[in-house]
Formats: sequence, C-alpha cells, structure tokens
Amino acid sequence: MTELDDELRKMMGRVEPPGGFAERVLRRAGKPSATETRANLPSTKSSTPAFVRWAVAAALVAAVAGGLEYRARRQEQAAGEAAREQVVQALQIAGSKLQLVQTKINRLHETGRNP
Amino acid sequence: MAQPARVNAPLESKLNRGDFAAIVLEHQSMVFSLAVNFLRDRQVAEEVAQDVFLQLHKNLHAIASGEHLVFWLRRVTSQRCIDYSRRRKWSQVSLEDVPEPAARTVARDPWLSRRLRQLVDSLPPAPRMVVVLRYQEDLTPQEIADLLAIPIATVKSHLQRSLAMLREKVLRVFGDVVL
Repeated sequence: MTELDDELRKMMGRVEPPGGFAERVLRRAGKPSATETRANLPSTKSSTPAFVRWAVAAALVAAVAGGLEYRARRQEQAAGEAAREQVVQALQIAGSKLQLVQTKINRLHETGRNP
Repeated sequence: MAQPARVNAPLESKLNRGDFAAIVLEHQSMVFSLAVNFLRDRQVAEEVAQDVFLQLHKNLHAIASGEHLVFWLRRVTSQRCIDYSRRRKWSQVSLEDVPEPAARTVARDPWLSRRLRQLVDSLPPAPRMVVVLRYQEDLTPQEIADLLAIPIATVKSHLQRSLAMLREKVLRVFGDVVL
C-alpha cells in the first residue's frame, strides 16, 4: 500500500447524491415509458381473417359499381322519355296547325260557292 | 404444499413488497459516486445514476440476489459512464498535456488531491473506470475484469500503467518523499 493508493482512495470516497434523488427516480419510474404507453394502446390491427376483409372489400366495390350503372341507366331512360314527350308535343302542335289550315281552306271553298 | 427454499430473503422481501424505493436509497450513494468520480460533473452524474435505476426498475425480475443486484448496478453504471464519456468525446486531455504546477508543495497538501484529480480525469475512459472501481469500490482486478467483461490482464495493465503515470507525473512535482 503506497501513499498514492491512500490518496486515490480518499479522493474517490463515496458521496451522497443531491437531495431528493430517490424521489426523482421514483417519480420517473412511475411514469410509463413511451414504449409502454404504445404497448398499452388498443391494437389497430384487426383480428378479422384476411379472406373476410377481402370479401367485404369486393362486395363494397361491386355495390358501388352497381349503383353507378343503375344511375347511368336511369339517366338514359329519363333522357329518352323527355325526347319522346318533345316529339309527341311537336306532333300535337303540327296536327293542330294542319287542322287550322284545313278549316280555313274549307271556309274559302264555302265562300266561293255562295258569294 | 411445501414452499421452495428462499435464497437471499432480504432482496426477495423487498421485491415482493415492491419496495423499489428501499433499493434506491440503499444503493444511490454507490451508483452516484461511481458516476461522479468518473464523470466529474454532478448534474450529468445524477442523470446517469437516475437512468441506471430506471433500467433496474424495468429489469427487477432478472435480479436473482443481493450480490447480483450490486454487481448489476456497478456494471450498468460503468457501462453507461464509459458510453457517455465516449459519446461526448469527454474533454479528455493527454497526461502529457496536463500542465505542471508552478511550485513544489508539501505532503497532504490539497494541491496534491487537485493535481491527482486532474491526472485521473485525463485518463482514457476504460483505464479511468478501472481506477475508479479499484479505489472507490475497493474491487480486486478479477472483480473489475468480471464487471467490465474484459480480460484480467487488461485490468492489471490499465492499473499498472495508470498508476505508473500518475506516480511519475506527481513525483516530478512533489518528490519521492510524498509518494
């Protein structure tokens, strides 16, 4: 044992940590860490089997596509009906005009025979 | 049904009671002193010591006995201090760069302690931790080797070289009467 050993031993004696050290450790230990918090959160991963999820997705796609098709057909049908109504209306107008002309012609004929 | 034999009952009773606080109070001086003697910064030493105890809190289930607890605390504190020191590129100064004091002084002078402290602080991390464990915890080279997971020959080499340099450097100033 040398004096250097003695000096080093004295120099490196144990010291107490700052006051409240244990309380600060315990406070930190009481808080859940970020990883623990994440672990406690409900999982976002579904427990439904994959084939069921695929079937549901396919059904949704089919329903949307069917809806779009139905809507397009309804629009075509409505447009056809509107066109038919316009044609009927045009024919009715034309018919009434012809009738009017016929009436005038008949009157002229009658006026020519009886001046 | 027979109860299994209890080994290290004191530690088990503490753990069973969940009395982590008692463990902290019992060992805080050792852990903090290792950190502060190595890092020479009380604030950083407290952070390191707190992290050591938080790591212990998460690993309490792996502690088998009171001896294991002390070994675990010394090992984790040493590792964290060395890692911190290497990461921070600790303001390490070569022994040769430490300035010589201006004048001789007498034995036991506070100057000697300050000078020794400067010289120890200038050691590289691994040899410095070997010196701290040797003189703070009074561990044998074999115990230090087990703790730091390095060969005993390396521990002895660190000790011999560090002490030889410290002695030579101090003797230059204080003379062989002192050491």
